[in-house]
Amino acid sequence: MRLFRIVSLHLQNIFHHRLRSFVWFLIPLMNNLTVILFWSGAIKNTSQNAAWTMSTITTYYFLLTIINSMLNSYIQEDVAEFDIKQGDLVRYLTRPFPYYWIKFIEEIPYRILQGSYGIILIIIFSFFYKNYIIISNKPIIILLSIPIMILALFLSFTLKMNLGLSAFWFKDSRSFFELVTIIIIIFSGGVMPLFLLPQGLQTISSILPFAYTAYFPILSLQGNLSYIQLIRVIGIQCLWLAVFIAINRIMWKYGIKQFTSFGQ
Amino acid sequence: MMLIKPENHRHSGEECNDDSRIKILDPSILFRINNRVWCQNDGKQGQDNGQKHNLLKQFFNQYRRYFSLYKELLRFSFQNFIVYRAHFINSVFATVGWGAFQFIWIELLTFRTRSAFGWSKNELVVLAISYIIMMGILHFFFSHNMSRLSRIINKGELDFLLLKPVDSQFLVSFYIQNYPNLVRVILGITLLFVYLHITHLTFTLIGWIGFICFIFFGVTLLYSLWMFYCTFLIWFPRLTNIIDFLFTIDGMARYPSEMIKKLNPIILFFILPFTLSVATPVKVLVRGSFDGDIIYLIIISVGMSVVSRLFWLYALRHYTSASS
Repeated sequence: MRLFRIVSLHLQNIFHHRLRSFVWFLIPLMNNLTVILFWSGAIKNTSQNAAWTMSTITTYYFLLTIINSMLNSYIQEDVAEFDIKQGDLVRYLTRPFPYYWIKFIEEIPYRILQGSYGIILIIIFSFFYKNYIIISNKPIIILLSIPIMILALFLSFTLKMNLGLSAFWFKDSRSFFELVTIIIIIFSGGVMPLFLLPQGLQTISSILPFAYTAYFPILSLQGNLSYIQLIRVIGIQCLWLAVFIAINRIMWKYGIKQFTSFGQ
Repeated sequence: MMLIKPENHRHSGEECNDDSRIKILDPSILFRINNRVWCQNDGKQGQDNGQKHNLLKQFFNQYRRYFSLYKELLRFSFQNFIVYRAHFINSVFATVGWGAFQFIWIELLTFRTRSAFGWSKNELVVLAISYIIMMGILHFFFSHNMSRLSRIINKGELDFLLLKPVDSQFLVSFYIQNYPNLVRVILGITLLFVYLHITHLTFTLIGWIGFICFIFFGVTLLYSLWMFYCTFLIWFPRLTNIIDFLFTIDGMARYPSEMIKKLNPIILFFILPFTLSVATPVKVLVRGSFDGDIIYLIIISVGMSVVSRLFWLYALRHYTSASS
């Protein structure tokens, strides 16, 4: 109950600036709508691929917008800039919660609000263009997609937290974040679905963790993965999450010793 | 903006090297850069010492004054960047990263595509590379200033800029130059020549001259659009992420204008100018012909420059500052 109250307080705070949050939602939406428009002209001149039609393209980029809004965390700037560099970390250290979980609780309302925008958008769009949105209607697929999405949220959050914690050692990590963001966009299917990429990039992206934060959750919702593949995705997500949590523990343990703050 | 001019004021609008002026003038109306003091210019230059200047001379004096001021600002920005060397190097890496990303982006999108909207794959790649160059120019000159504008309006610091004896739009648009973006411009030019060499593409001399000329119009148009949209911050100071939104709309310029023309007329009205700014110079380059879009680009860029200027002056009349 106490946790619920904390989340609802943060939600009120974020809802107060809902227009700002809406602009953040519009940014990836605009990007993805433009790519859909590009494909509408390019698909007839593209080498044949049975799985890549206008309806799968539309579904893919719409789901990408929603998944990114709902599951993709942007906590790294907050952790690095405000908490570590400006010293706000002090007020978290005195609270009876681990830092990781406080930040997670703070992040949840953002994901709820942005995810709601996405869900509203897809409902409106599928009302007018029903044939263009294809989502699996098999209950087991949907049931298995839920843990994939929850793990994707944790994976993205922990990865960004670790990036943010790097500020304990680096004075200016903004460009490092931007370079990592570029890598994430490419290898998480942000440009186009990974099966359309060159073979070498497909192999690399299946090894790296980024595809498990966006691409595979989308495939699972579209019903493009078999049961075995779904379970395999969950397994790999758990593995990467364990690695990221271990890195997080180590970074926190040694990083906090680097942190100094002063005041009265 | 009119400011009270003290007696014994010599040529207003000139650089004053003697710091004694600080004693004569109110310090708030002096603008200091690198220990040089810039005096107020109220547009009545020459009347104080009894000399009558013609309009042309006034114009050149004004031009010379702003040019020398801009030179100082360039130097100031450069020194500001190299003071924090690690930050400068980091910014160069990030800028080059985003520049390279635009190239990778279009290469991946067109990996299995031969053409789109009448543009061949090679032409689409040249469009993306030109986008890197133009965005480098835009970000070098203006976009940091617009981010700064959103910050200073939000914090109520615009008052200090309005008090300075320099045109306010000049000051908010040209105060900082983002030097790492010069590297992006160099990267774009290098990529363009390497790509042309690899693909054996050749363009006419007319195409190259037209490309360089229309880049000027394209950048002017982009600046005017940024200025126009950022002026809304005077009424909505909390909407600071409008800058990020503008970065996104700029991203539309990576695509052919024929694609954007397919959109709903209302959306088209907002987005087409962004697309024309990059696609038109590239069309001149790759096709070597001056087609209909050129007229649109010239008219829209000149028109938007005037509109953004008038809108800025109008908005300033509604600026209430942080304290009111």
